[in-house]
Amino acid sequence: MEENRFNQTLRDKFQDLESPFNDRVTFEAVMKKREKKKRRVIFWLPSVAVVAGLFLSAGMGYMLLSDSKSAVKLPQVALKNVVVKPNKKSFVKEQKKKSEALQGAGISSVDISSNQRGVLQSKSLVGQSQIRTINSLVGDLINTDQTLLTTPVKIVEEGAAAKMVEMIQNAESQLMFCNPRGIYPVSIGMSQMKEEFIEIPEGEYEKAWDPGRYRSKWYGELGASTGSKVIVDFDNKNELSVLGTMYHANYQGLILRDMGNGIMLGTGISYGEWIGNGEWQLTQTERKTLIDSYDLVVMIPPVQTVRVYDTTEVIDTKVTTGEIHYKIDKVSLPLAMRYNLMLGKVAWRLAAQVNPGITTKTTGDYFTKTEYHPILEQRMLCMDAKLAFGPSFALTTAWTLVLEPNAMLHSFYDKSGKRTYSKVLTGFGMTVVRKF
Amino acid sequence: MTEKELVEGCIREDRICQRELWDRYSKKLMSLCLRYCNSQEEAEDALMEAYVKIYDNLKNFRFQSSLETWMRRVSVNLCINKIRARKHIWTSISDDEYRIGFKDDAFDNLQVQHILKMVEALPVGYRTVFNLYAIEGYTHKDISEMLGIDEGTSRSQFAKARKALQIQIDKSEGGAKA
Repeated sequence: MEENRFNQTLRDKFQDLESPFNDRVTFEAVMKKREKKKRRVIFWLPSVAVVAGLFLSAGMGYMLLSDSKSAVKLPQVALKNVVVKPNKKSFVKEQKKKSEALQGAGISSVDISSNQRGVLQSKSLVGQSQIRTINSLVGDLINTDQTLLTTPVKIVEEGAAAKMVEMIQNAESQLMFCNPRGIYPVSIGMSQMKEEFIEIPEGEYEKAWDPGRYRSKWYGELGASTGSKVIVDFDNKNELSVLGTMYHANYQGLILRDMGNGIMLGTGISYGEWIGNGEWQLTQTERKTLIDSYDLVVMIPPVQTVRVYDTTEVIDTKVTTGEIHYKIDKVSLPLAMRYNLMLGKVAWRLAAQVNPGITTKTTGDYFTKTEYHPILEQRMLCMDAKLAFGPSFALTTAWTLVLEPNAMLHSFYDKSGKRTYSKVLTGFGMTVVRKF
Repeated sequence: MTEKELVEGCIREDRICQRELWDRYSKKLMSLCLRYCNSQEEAEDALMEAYVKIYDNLKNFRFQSSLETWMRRVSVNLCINKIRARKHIWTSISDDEYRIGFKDDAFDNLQVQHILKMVEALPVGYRTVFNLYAIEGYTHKDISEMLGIDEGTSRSQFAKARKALQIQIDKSEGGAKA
């Protein structure tokens, strides 16, 4: 049904009509709007990707933890799986000497290698406390007598050693250890154990065995954090006042070293975006003096005229407003400190860092509550600092997820204005830590 | 600059071409937006948004119609989306009612600007359907799909628009004669 549709001529006339628009509608305004839209996408995409990645890794971590191996979540034992192969020549000599000394002192010795045989084949879970005891005993034994690291193994049937033998017999067919050639200090965690053969040079085996030297103290950290700050109202006391929202996104990768006592120190690289969108208001007051005059005629002869002046003072207030934006991209080298602690049953981490760096891109007008100015310099020194405190969750023996509410100070030195500007933004961050 | 050069330039993010596109069509599109929107400000916002969309999507323009037609379509769609977002309630009327219409020559003696003012004065539902059907040349089926309404509702909205316009025209002619 084509009834009452305008004829083509009229339709063409309609379509050729042109209408004017206000000054605010310009090509530049459209491009700015487009730029803003793009920037929003650029800002959110990496953030979403990082957060999604973190959630994915968290999810995978929990999936791994939920399998049968995680039925007993045991503390990670610091020892690596090491088989020590001592130098035979010097060992035999040493062994003979020690055996003679022991017999001289009236202490009998026993060959436990037979007790250890066959246990290695079956692995099952034992209680946490039991394993702790076994491991502490292993440590004691190793420190007590180097002969335990040899094949065949001879140990003194006294004190800790005797206890250990008893425990092995009791725990027969449960878990662990034994090797005809030596003892496996095992890693009791959820990670798969790997064997590592170390040839100890002659004479070296006599040194006290320090398992700590086989443990890595290096960690890698990847993190993303966001935050914001809002200036809600205009400050009407000032002639120029600015309100707006500032927000930041920060991504960083760090290498950290465990310094002991829960403290880690490290450095790396960080990239951050700091954006502000706001509105300025300029309140101008002008005092005006209005003078009104009129003539009074005095009708008493001779007729006279008196001019009367009325003076009124008026305060004229003019308010102008406008939009304001800025964006600062920066790259920095963080110097980071981490402190890990247990509060109750939850592991927490305190993170503090300073990020000296340089701005890579600056656009728009930087604003504070009471002023704004264009950021002309593209390369400015900047210094950020972050303080965060939050719970950390072990996903696997190697990966840890940390949730970090944080406060971040952003500052830069404006070369043209010779001033340092800074702001503190509060927000939330997520970090994954990998033990190497 | 030909249409093809203009499009290619805009895809290359060439500022000169982008400005040329703005200068060439912005006022026409403003006129279009005014016909769909409730106020000058709303129309201006719609125009700017339409241009952002146009610049972003020019790479999808296949030269199957003229550039202006394509730009008009993008702008119309944007305005329609705005109207749909406002959740306007569309009402239907009986078949008899929508047979009432204006005479074929009703607009012959009127200036386009005058008609436009009358169209702009129509309620949003009437105006939208009237614009799409009478001016843009969409069918009621197309309109029903675009606005998410029944075809019958589209027809009835158009009939109501015609009726309202006829009253306006009669008033206008009466006034002129007087």
